[in-house]
Amino acid sequence: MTISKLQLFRRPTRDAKAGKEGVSRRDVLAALVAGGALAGVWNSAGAALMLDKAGAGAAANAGLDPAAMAVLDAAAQVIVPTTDTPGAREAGVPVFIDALVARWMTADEAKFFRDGLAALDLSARQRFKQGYAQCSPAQAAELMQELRANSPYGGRTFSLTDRILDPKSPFYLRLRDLVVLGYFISEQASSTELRYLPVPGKFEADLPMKTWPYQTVI
Amino acid sequence: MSNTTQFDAIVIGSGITGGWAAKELTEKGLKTLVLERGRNVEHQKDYVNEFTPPWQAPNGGLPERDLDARDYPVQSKIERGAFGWANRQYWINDRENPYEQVKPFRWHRTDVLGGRSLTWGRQSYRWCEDDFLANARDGHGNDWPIRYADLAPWYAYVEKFIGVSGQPEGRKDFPDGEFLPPFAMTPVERALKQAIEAKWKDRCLTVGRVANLTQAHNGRAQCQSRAICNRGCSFGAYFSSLSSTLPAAQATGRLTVRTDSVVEAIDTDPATGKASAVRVIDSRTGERLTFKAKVIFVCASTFGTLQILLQSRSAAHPNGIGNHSDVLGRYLVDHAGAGGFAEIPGFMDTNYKGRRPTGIYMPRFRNLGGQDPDADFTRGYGFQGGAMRDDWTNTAAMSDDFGAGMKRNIARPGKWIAFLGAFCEQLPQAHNRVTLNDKVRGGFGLPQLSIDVAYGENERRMNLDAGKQAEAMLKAAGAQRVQLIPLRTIPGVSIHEMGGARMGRDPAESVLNGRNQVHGVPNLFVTDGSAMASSGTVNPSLTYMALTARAVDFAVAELKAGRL
Ligand SMILES: Cc1cc2nc3c(=O)[nH]c(=O)nc-3n(C[C@H](O)[C@H](O)[C@H](O)COP(=O)(O)OP(=O)(O)OC[C@H]3O[C@@H](n4cnc5c(N)ncnc54)[C@H](O)[C@@H]3O)c2cc1C
Ligand code: SF4
Repeated sequence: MTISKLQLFRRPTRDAKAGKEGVSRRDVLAALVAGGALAGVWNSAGAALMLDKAGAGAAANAGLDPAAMAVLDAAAQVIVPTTDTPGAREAGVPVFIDALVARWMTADEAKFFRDGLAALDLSARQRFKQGYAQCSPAQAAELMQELRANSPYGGRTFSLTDRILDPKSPFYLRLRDLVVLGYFISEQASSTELRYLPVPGKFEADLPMKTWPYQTVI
Repeated sequence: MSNTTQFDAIVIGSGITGGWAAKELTEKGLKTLVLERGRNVEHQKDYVNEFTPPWQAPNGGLPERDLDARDYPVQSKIERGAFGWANRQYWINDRENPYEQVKPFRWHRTDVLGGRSLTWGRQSYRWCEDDFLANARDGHGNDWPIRYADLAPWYAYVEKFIGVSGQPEGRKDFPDGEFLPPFAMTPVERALKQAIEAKWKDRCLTVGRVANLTQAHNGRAQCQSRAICNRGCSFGAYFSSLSSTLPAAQATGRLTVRTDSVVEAIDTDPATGKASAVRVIDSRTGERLTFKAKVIFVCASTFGTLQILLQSRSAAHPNGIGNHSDVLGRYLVDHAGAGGFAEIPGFMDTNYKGRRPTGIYMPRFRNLGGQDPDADFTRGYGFQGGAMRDDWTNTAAMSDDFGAGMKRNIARPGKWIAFLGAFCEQLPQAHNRVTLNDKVRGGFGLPQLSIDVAYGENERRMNLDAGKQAEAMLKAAGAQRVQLIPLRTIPGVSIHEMGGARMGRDPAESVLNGRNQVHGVPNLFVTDGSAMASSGTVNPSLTYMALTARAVDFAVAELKAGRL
């Protein structure tokens, strides 16, 4: 019943709020075998938590400044808008990408990414006389569409990770792919758009889409 | 533990074969020491990322490029996502444990208790009669000293303990085993099966036979269909040394496990010719220790074992133990491959739930029992694959869309994608070998293992044929366009490295006899992949396990009869 046991499956985190549930690994396993609910064990400690790699050193780069964050936040919401399910903003995607810029990207990649956001913002100021974050959804989408049209990519179809790793990927795709990645691995998307089933119990090979129109993720 | 402690038996390595040796030796009453170079890993407790959800994966699960380039340049290139944030901690540090690649070779290995039994794909197939006859029949490689009948009861023995799920097919060239109920096939896999079997009467498509428990078995829980097995499984629902064999050995009260113990060499007693001791370097302290036993089993994985045998040099064995004939280190084999994938139209109103930890299998159909008239290569291959709906990690990269429509499309199950990938038998050849490079030092100051293995013309032709056949079969199932991809073109990638201390009847052309006993060193047994005289077409580990259990049975009988 100790925190240290819980941390066996929850990464150490700087977030002091996380990891307080008094659940032991044995309880969890028992619940899993019984097909018990998992809510409460893994309620989100926020998108930043996923970046807390045990033993990771200090951030390699500076993160994004507030102005860049505002552009990113607006752009993420254009790429994955809120519909009947949460959008990128509710899923914490901007925080996720900010942390990637700080800890995962090389200095060159981080600069490329910051420059791309700045250019997107500049295009808004030139066309609509206001920052990208202040644009209406229609204006923001128009600029995004234009950025997309002006971003040729010679690569073939890769897995999403492969494309994110491709140094030749233009800014538009880099932004779009990271938003899509951050969104679909988020707790919000995993429980609304997809079905995060840590313990499906069995494999059911043949179900009508009507009853099970989901991708089972883990 | 004092270094003079006398054991009845020593097992070197705790992976798939070492675990089996430990279980059998202890259950037969021998006080047994297992020496493992890797660190200790405790079942359940140390599967640290087993329950980490995607949103807590470090860096969103993206590769740690700097770390991987520095410490895991070989391991991180493993195929099919078997290396990553969730299980990096099991793999060996390549920087600290270098080896020489005379030609490109990927040596994928773990550095933990349990070896690669923690990370393997669990596909478990028996060899067939033909596999043991092939060398004698076509003259590539030496004749196997055993036949299918010698191993059949041991296959059954092993299967009953580890638990293998599968579908009996009643074919002589693809022997059935002691199966737990099979996993179900998806509707498109069933359609693929129907289309292929209707067109080619000699082909059989079945669900992958896999060491995952489809029902509770031997005190281990039923598989929960998560398909994250290579993180470790607290349910014990797949076979690993940690979930199965080592606990069984432990239960006898006769097991001692010493981790962080790098075996350097095996000493022989000049007076008796027998193996007398195992020399060890403690990887944490650098301390050198010696352990003695009446019988020694080397189960350090094909290359790990060859390294130890080559390092075991003495007046009686100047070129390494058992290397009287210069065969030690030669005739290395793996499985080459090519494959094809395709979109199968239709079936859009069916889906599945859960994640099946296996795919489908198609046993060898080329050159079976003789040469096919249209085949320009020797021997054959089996196919593994599957048909599943494409998921978001792929479909997201197939478009550059944004907005609500994209979000919806990517979230829904994608098109049905079918895949067939071949495992092609590599011919045993003397020039494919490993040696020690005494001039270059690797981990712990030991000489580096130098690997000089390449695929040849026969493998190239077989790959081409496998690609063509995959294409024809996928088309028969309705695919319009098939994308062929080279697979396993670099030896080692299949992680089925075998040979080097092959079994044989004649000591002049083999290292081991038909009981996995080193010719001339009666109390020394080698039962991992290095014992293999050819590679067959199926995944090898079940055969290693059967050979291990059989060899222990023999060794203990000999010991009790006073002959070791
Ligand atoms: C990703 C992946 C997928 C695979 N899929 C399949 C599959 O589906 N089916 C199949 O049949 N096979 C599969 N394999 C191959 C399978 O893992 C190996 O064939 C099997 O593990 C070999 O068993 P082993 O006992 O010889 O070696 P291992 O399981 O590798 O164990 C050897 C042990 O010896 C230790 N050791 C090495 N050198 C020394 C030394 N000097 N001193 C002390 N200890 C030492 C190692 O640390 C290790 O723990 C797969 C492998 C991988 C990595
Ligand atoms: S799929 Fe089965 S064997 Fe694999 S980790 Fe899940 S429960 Fe364990």
